[in-house]
Amino acid sequence: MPPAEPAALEVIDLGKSFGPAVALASVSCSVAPGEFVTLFGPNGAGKTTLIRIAATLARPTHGEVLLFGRDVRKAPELRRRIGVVSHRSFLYGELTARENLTFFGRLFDPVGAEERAIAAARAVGLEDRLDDSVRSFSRGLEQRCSIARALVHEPDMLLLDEPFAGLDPLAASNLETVLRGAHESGKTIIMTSHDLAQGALLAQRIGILHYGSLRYWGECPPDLQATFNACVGGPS
Amino acid sequence: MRTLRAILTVVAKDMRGELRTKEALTSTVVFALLVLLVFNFGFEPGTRDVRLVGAGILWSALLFAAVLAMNRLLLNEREGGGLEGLMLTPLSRADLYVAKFITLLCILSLAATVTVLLFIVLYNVPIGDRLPLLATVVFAGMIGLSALGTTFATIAVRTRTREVMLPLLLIPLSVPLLIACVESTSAILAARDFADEAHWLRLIVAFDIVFLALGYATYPAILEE
Repeated sequence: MPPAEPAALEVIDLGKSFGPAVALASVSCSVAPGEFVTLFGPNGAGKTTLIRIAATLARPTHGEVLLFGRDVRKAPELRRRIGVVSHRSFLYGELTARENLTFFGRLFDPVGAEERAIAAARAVGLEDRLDDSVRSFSRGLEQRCSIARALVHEPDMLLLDEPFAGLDPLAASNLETVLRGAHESGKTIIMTSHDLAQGALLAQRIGILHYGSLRYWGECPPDLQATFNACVGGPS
Repeated sequence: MRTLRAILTVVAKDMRGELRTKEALTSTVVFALLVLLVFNFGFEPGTRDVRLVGAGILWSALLFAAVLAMNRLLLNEREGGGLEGLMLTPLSRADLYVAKFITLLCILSLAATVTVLLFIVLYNVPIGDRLPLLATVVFAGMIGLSALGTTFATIAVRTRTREVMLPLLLIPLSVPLLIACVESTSAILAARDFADEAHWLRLIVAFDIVFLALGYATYPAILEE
């Protein structure tokens, strides 16, 4: 019998405190390869902290995060398998989109970086603006370029922190198409969202965080709003 | 080899961005020029005085201008979250320190070259054949400032009071380096036998090695809060 495929992301008793403030308190969950998971929660629930720890941008106070069965802190080469989109674009305004994408592509693998940059730009509909400076981009274009940056090394998993924030309806619809395509190509996607309707659209499984605790983890319930309110103490 | 190539890729990206905007370089050189001019008007030093106070004036200009460059360089990384973007790549945090150190050293060395030439012209310094020796001391000093500056600018840029925080962190710790740099430069300007003053250069080199090693070892913890 072949060995069982490890979870794409396994969070075990994860905790993070900033001084006396607890951002995450003993969170445990597991995401299967190819799954699309959306994490919901009000401001300060710990969604961003969870994504940042999974992306190795922050250290946990306790617990561990396994990516594809291995501790990413002990195996930094696993960063090749994840792409991250955050509130911030991680792009350099003074460089063009092509320069940004090729630069990040080269850091992951110098071979074929330029071709991968073009392919990533094409995937998000940015090929016409490749030679424009990122500083000249609107919020929607910058977000698309940021997603192309996350895709440029062809990762197996995408960690997306509020990717729809600040996008107009057209840009949001474009992003939705990109995410759908990425998911259909087999990528694991973990996304945080404030917007219940938007976040639930593609999700196979959802999590609801409140005050650093995972209050719900499972399939998207028929009445998501009611479940959300029950978890975060909103109106029933 | 792969790591070295990645480090050089980051440095090339930084230098391309800097050469395009010239933000750090221009502000550093202009600020150094202003410091040199202010001291020139304030003291009106003659050739004899330059031998006494010239080294102090030159290093004051270099230090304060360097602080400006450090703030500017890391602020660029901070604005779009570029430094975090780099943390998501397979490049180790310690190697990121090396990349940022090399970039800062390149910018400070370029700025220092212009500043030293301006100093020689404005103060009419009879440097003669001691220019290579002066260049060696200045470059060694820039290595120390870059080693310290990369670490502290990364800390300071995350604070709200970054403009104050960086000099507060940097200047006290760089005092041994500055003393050694000023003494070495003073000996060169006064045309003293440098063999008698070589211990200052050895101190600069020791400082460079210690703070490069410390920066390399502590940078991963500094980057991750």
